[in-house]
Amino acid sequence: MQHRSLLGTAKPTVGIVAYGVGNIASLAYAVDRAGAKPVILTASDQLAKVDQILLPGVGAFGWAVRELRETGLWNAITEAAESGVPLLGICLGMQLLATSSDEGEAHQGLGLIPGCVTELKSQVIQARVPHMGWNQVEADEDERFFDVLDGTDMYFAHSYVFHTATDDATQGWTRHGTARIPVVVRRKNVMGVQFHPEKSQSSGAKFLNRVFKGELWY
Amino acid sequence: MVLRIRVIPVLLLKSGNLIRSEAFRIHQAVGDPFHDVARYAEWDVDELIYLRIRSTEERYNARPDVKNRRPMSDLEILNEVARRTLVPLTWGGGLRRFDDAAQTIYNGADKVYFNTLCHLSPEEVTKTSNHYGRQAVVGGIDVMREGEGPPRIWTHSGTKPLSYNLADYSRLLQQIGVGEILVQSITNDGNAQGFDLRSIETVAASVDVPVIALGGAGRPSHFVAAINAGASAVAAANYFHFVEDANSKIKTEMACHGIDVRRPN
Repeated sequence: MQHRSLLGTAKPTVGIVAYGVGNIASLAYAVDRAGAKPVILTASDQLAKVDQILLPGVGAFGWAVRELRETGLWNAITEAAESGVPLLGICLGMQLLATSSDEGEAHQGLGLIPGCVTELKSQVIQARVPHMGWNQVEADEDERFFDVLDGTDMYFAHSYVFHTATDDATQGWTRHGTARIPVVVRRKNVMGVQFHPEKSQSSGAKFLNRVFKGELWY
Repeated sequence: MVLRIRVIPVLLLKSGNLIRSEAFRIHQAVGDPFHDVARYAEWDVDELIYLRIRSTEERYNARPDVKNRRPMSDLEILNEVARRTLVPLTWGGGLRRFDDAAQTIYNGADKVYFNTLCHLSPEEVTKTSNHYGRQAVVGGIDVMREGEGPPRIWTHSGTKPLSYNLADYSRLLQQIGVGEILVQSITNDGNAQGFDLRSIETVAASVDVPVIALGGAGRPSHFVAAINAGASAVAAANYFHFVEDANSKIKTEMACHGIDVRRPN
C-alpha cells in the first residue's frame, strides 16, 4: 500500500483510531489546533485515506485489543505501519505497539516495536502507582526528539510500562521512584509516547505540532 | 528529578452554575461554568477538577443575569470545558453507574470522580476501572472531624455517615480499583483555616495510590503542610476563585520549601 508523502502536504490528514475505550475528543482538538485534519477511524477501510495514524489512549490493554480485533482495525493498522505510514501511539497506544502485555490476562500486542509491557509495583519502585502527573522527560541527545522533548514536563497517567527488547528503540525516559521508565519509543515510522501530549499544555502541543507537520518521523 | 507535586483548582457546579461552598452547606453562585477556565489556562494550571453538587430544587435556578438563556446541561458544559482545556480534566459528582462514567469520558473528561458510588455500588467503580484503567478513576472520601475524636466519613453530599474508619475505607477504595483518592474535609470546607492534615496522613499511609487533598486552603503555607502530610496533589476551590495569582503564590511557596512543582513556561 502506498502512502502519500508528507512533504508538500498542505494540510495532513491524521486518522485517530477510535476503539471505544477512551476520550478521543481532546486528540481531535489537538490535531485541529496543530493545523492538521482529524479523521476518526472506526473501520479498516478508512486507513487508506490518511497521512498519519494516531493510536490513543485511555483504557485497559485487553479491552483495546478486543475492540481493535473486532472492528478489523488491528490488521489494518499493522498493514499500514508495515507499509510505511507514520504511526504514533499515545499512552496505552504506545503499549499496544509491544509484543505482549501482562495487563489483565496476558495479551498479545501489535508487535510493531518488540518488547513487553509490565506492571509498576509501588513496593518495588518505592513510589505511588499509578504514575500520575507531570514529570520531566530525558531524551537521547543523538535523536531527533532531543530539541522538542528533553527537559520538558509532560503529563503521565499509567500503571504499566513498556520495556523495548533493544536499547536503541527507547529514545526517551522519565524517573519515578527507583524506576527509569521508557517514555519515547521508536522503530522506523512507528513511534510511541507514554505521556499524554494532548493533555500537556504548551509542551505537548509543541510536540504534536512537530509530529502532525510531518517532522520527527524520518 | 521526580514526579512533580500537583496543584489543582476545583470548580463546583450546581444546576449549571459555578458555586462556592462552606461546610458543604452554604452555596453561593459565583459565575458561569467557564468563568475561570480561560484564567486557569492562562495560569497554566496542572489539572482541573469539576464536581457537581446535588441540587435539591427541581427546577433550574439560574442567576438573574442568565435568566433568559436556555440552561446548559451538565454534559454540554463538560463538552465546552473539555474543548478549552489542555490539561487533564476530572469530572464527577452524582455519577451512579458505569454508563454515567462512560458518557462522562466520551464527552471529554479524562478521569471520573466517584464518591458515594464507592460505597453504594463498588462493582460499578470496579467495572469502570477495568474498562478505562485505574488511572481514569478518582475516588472521593468526604471527612468530618468532631473535636479530637476519630474522623467520620460521609456520603450523599455529606448527609449519610458511614461506620468505616478512614484507613480501612481508603484501602477499600484502592481495592475496588480507584487510581487516586481525593480526601475532602467537610469540616474545613470554605473556612480557610488549613487542610485536615491528620486525615491526609491517615489516607496517604493506608494506600499506594496518589492522594489529593481538598478543603480548608486559606494561605500558601497550608498547601505546603498538606504535601508534607503525604498528599501527592493539593486542590482548592475558593482559594483559586478569590485569590489573585493563586497558582503562582502556591507554587512559589512550595518551591521555597523544596517541593518539586511544575513552573509554567
